Amino acid sequence: MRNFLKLIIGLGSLTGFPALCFAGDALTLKSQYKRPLEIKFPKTAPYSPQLVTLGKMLFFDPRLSGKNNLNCASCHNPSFGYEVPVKTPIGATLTPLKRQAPTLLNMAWVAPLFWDGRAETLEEQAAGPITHPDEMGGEFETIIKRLSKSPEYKKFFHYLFPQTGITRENILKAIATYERTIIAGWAPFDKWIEGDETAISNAAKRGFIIFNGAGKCATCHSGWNFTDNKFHDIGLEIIEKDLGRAEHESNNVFAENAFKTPTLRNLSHRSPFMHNGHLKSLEDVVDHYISGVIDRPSTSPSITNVTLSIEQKSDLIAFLKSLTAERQDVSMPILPN
Amino acid sequence: MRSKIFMSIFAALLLGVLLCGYMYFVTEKGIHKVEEITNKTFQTVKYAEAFHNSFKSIDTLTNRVLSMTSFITKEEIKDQFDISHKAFANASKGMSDYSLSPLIQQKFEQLNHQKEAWLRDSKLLLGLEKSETIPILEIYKQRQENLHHTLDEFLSLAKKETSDQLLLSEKELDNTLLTTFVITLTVSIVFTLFAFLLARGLSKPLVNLVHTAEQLATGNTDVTFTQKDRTDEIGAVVRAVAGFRDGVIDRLSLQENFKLQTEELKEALSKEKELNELQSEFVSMASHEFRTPLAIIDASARRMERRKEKLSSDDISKRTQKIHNAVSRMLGLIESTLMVARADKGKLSITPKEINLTELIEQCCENQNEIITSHIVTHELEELPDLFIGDQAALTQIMTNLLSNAVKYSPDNFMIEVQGWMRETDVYISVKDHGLGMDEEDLSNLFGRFFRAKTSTGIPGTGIGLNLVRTLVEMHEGEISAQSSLGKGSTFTIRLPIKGENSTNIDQEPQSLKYASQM
Ligand code: HEC
Ligand code: HEC
Repeated sequence: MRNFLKLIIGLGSLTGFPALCFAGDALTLKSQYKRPLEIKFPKTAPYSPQLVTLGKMLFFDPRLSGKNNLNCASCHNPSFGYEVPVKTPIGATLTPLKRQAPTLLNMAWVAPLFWDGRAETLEEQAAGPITHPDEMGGEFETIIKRLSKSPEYKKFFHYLFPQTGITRENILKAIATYERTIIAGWAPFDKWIEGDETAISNAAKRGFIIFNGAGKCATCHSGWNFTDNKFHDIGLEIIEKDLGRAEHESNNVFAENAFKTPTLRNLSHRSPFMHNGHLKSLEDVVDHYISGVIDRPSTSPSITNVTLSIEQKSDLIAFLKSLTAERQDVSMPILPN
Repeated sequence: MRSKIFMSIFAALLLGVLLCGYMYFVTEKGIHKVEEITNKTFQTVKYAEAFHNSFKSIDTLTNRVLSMTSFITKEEIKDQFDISHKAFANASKGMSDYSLSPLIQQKFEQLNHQKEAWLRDSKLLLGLEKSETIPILEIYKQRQENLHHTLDEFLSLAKKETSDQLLLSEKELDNTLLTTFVITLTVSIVFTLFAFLLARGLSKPLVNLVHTAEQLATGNTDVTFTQKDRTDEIGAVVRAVAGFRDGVIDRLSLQENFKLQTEELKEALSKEKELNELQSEFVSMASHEFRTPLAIIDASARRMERRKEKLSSDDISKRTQKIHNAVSRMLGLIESTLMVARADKGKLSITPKEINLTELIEQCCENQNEIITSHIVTHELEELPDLFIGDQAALTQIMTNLLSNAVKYSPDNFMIEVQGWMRETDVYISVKDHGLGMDEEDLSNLFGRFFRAKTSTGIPGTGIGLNLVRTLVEMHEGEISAQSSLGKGSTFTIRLPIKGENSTNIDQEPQSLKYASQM
């Protein structure tokens, strides 16, 4: 039924009479994009401001890296949508990494993690960059030693974990908990969804229809966070061999070159795009979907070249831009000595 | 009858007091209401501010905690939160107490609802309450903003409402004050008019009365009274003053009488006093007067007896003449005394008869010359009427008295002149001496009983002679007058009407004196 409706909408918009259908279905559509108002925390790591604060400190603490020179923000910079404005970040080995750092926005709703989904939880994930020699090149033994030297860290850890104190698990738990609180701000689009008709331009509104219709984008970029948390090969040109999801799902044809659908929130701050940072602008991205999709066995079946007029393209881009919230202040924690 | 003026003034006062009371009541009530509303507004705003403050303090706390920049323990958070929360609760309660209208009440409920939700969110975010989910910070902030907005709405609503109410009640107060003012003004005008009329009604007759009273005070009782018929006090006062006037008239006449009586009494008293004095003098004089002729008689009789052989008939006649004179002197004395006594008792009467006045006067002069050798009495009588009606004895007495007086008071001059003349219907007889005379004062008292002139010192006399003379003259419907100058002598003139045909019983006041004497 829904697909039927979408078809009608698609046809409607194509035939240039979208208004009627749009008016009727916009509400149903819009209701799918309602944002959650709460963050859910796992039972194993319940929320507490103290834990979040500790996590934030650790997130920004370079002592978590082997040479005391990198923190999480080195590659997940809040100013660039928790990414870095390079194709791929440079880690501890001073060589560009294989993949772009994905945004850390709305991680509480994302699982599994990494482009290829190799980590189930944020706790599990966090251990990755810390210890990965290419990334931060740290070792938990030394990190724990370092942190233990700080009476404040010691105090904080012991306050939060009276029994265990500073441990790997506790460090990861703190970081993960902090990450769960990193949430994309309310974008004009959200305000429109909530009923403010003036929040976005008419182009963006049309773009919204294209996004859900002719562009077929919503098939994968679904829901309020614009991701299905699934892996697709969107037919990107292969510049450097990267198996993607296939590393963990070897017998799935579609897992090859497939990467986890990223959120489209705060796109404006997050270029370059894609797992390899190969597409510089949103125009490039849309152009890719219109004409750049390489058809190969792994290519997602739902990703066929879409035909969009120039107006539709710009409408779509206007829509994508409406997903970027105003920049939020991120205060730096005072790191314990 | 109740006092009308009092009643009117009392009624006016009562009305005034009631009006004042009403004004006071109305004003007080209005002011109280305004005060109450102002207070309410003030309280509401105050509590709203307190609300806002506690709101802000929680906000600050959450901001500080949720910035996640420094480590704040749960206990610390809880302490701070509790303080703010308490303030919050107080403010909310205060605000609900002072909520005014259903609209504000509704807003307040909304506010409270939002606040509760926000507080719950705050607690979750601050980690004071455990939950699997916490609100997204932005949502929390959003809600906080809404709460803020609602608070602002509530405040402005409360302010507007109270200011509206204030305006309304102020207007009401103004209206009531205006009404009261108008009423007061009207009543005041009416009262002033009333008071003016009352004052005029009171003062005019009063002023008239004062005038009348002043007139009365000066003794002028010839005054008229207006508004005597008024039924109030003024009328009563006017009537009273009129009555007073009548009383004054009575009293004045009475007083006049009294004054007269007093004067008379005084006069009588002084006369009495004088008389008493004169009387005692008279007694001593009289005894002396009697004693002298008696001594003469005694001496003459003794001499005659002692020298009865040696006495010549000439001597005898001389002696008997002396005795005779003394006796006649005594007789005269007795006669005049008796006459006075009779006159005192009102029994003195004269018996007018046809007499020869010329002869009578001549006889008297002769008699005098006979008795008194020291003086010479001359008489010069013009034509006197042939027929004169009078009392022989009384007229003789008059003449004798006048002559003996003249003799007595002219010790150094022997000339005594008697003149008689007639003018129209009267006969005038004067006796003139050239003796001591007297002053004006004495002259005026001359005819009083027992009066003796100052010049009479050392001269025996009883002081009844001239009085008797006057009495007798007056009985003849005549009058006596005297002229005198000190040291030069006196002239006594009597006037007697010629037609003294009817014998008169002279009405005389009873006199206290019982004695009379010829000197
Ligand atoms: C040197 C750069 C670098 C540093 C430092 C780094 N990361 Fe990453 N991060 C990456 C890259 C690259 C990926 C993607 C890797 C992949 O998918 O194989 C990634 C992925 C992730 C993801 C998964 C995102 C998703 O959408 O699945 C999370 C979460 C993450 N990083 C958190 C962290 C944390 C926490 C830290 C600090 C402890 C950290 N990163 C430090 C570069 C870095
Ligand atoms: C078949 C599923 C699918 C469809 C349909 C699809 N996408 Fe994607 N999209 C993906 C995947 C998977 C990626 C990540 C690919 C990668 O990095 O290799 C991606 C990435 C993107 C990115 C870059 C995000 C980033 O963080 O780098 C943008 C922008 C984007 N898509 C927009 C669109 C638009 C616009 C449409 C509709 C015209 C669309 N997508 C349709 C799955 C899809």
